[in-house]
Amino acid sequence: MRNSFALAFAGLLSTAALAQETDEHVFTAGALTIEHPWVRAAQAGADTLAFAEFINTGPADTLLSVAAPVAAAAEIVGLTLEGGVIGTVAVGPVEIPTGAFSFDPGGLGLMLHGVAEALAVGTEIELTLSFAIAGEVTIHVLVEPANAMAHSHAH
Amino acid sequence: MMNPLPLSLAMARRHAGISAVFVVLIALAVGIGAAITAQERALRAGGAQAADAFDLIVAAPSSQTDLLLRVVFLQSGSVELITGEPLRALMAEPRAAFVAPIGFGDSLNGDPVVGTIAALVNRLSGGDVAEGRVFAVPTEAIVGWDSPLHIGDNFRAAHGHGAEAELDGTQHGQALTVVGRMRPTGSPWDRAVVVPIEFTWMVHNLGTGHGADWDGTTIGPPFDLLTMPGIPAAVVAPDSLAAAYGLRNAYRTADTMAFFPAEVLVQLYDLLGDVRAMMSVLAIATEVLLIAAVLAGLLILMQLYRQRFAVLRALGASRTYVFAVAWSFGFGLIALGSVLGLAVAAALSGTVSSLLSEASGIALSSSIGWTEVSLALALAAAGALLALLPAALLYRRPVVEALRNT
Repeated sequence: MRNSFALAFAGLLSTAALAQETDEHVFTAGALTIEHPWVRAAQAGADTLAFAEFINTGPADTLLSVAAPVAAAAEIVGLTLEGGVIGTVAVGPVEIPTGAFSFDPGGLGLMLHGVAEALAVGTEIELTLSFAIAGEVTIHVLVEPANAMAHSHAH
Repeated sequence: MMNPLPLSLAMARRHAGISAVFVVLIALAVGIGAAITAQERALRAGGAQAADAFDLIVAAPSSQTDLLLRVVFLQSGSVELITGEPLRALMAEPRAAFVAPIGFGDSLNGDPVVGTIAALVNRLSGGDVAEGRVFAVPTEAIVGWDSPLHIGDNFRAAHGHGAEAELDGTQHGQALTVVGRMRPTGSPWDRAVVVPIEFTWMVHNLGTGHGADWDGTTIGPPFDLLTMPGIPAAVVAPDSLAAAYGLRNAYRTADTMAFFPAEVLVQLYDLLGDVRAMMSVLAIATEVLLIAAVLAGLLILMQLYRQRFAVLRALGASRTYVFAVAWSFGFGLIALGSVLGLAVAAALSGTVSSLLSEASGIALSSSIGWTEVSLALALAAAGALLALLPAALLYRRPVVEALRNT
């Protein structure tokens, strides 16, 4: 609740679609609900990964890109196993189908390259997601431990 | 200044026994420490290599780790089946290049007999087979790279695995003929006998997977979605990278689970990393204690030598020369031990790897890498510093006092 005023205000100032935080860590944009976004704690200058769950009540949308003021660059990545090496690969825009879709440590993630300052557990950062239909939405992302596998409030 | 090496070598020869014990102890400590890190790296690489060809695994909801062990590493155990509508949706998946059902439950002389489709065999075998061809009728089989069977061999599979198969003693009535051999996969599939899934279904009286008008010889998809039996797992090959993530999401439901082998391996490796970290701490603690013991030994040795060094000084050798002799002796032992330790590590992890490969079927190749070399270098560097201590004690001792006080 405490962020809804700030978010609404940010929405008025920018061209971003009006994001409404209906509950703590739940954000809506058009037919999309973004739940429990979280990011792994990182040292300043390091890369880290952010994850979230999407509920899409409308037709399939596409996540086009991600922007992170705290990072030098951000992109959509997926876990890969190629030639016996486990890593991540940039996957470009991702379709968010109708229904539930999750970005989690076993599949897709949002890679933040070179965070400007250390991300401490319990703090929050902002990410701006751009969707083909729902437009831009800025979400508040909770910092979880560096080895976390899920949001600590996720059901 | 005179060269200190002949004299420190002479000291080593004079005390060959104790010097050798020091070197061997250091070599063993470094060897065990380095073997732990080399072995962990080999396990990670071997596990990932083995899982490489298994794009996405779909199964009934249960433990992902258990399913990975069953499908990729062919460990025996029971698994829930995917049946009904979720199975029909999966088998008709338009975003998949192929959906390969997997059927377990039989063995031949302890090696697993696995039922699937030709597309998965080709995928695992890297596009083409090493010898012969893939099965084309329900009574043909293709064997893994390391299988003792040969093309043309006829055999009957036993129901069950291991002791269960021996106790049960049931052999399926239908004989199979080996028609090909797969290329190495680095996984337990290298020991497996791979048969058409129709064979597995038929010998277990689960039907044929095809409709009533089936000709009895044509195998593989499309299956008859209404009559095909439930399956413990399927390997799904997505037709694109994006489809892989979409399919993983689409089959994470109440009726099915979908996962990449990589995501389970990452979790297993975290655990493995924790174990390795703990063992590394123990190994480093051992090395530190050992260095302290070696240092104490050197101090005692130098104590015995103090009179001889004093004689050297009286004969005109410089303090620096005495210091250099004592230091190069101490450092030489630690450095030699560290280098030999790498050889011990290579031998140790090579042995452990081949034992583990034999037991698990996972191809493991351990090698001594930069991590292990830097461990040995760090220890040698620490030795260079620590060897200063006995050298400095000799250096500071006044000649006259040392000569008198024997």
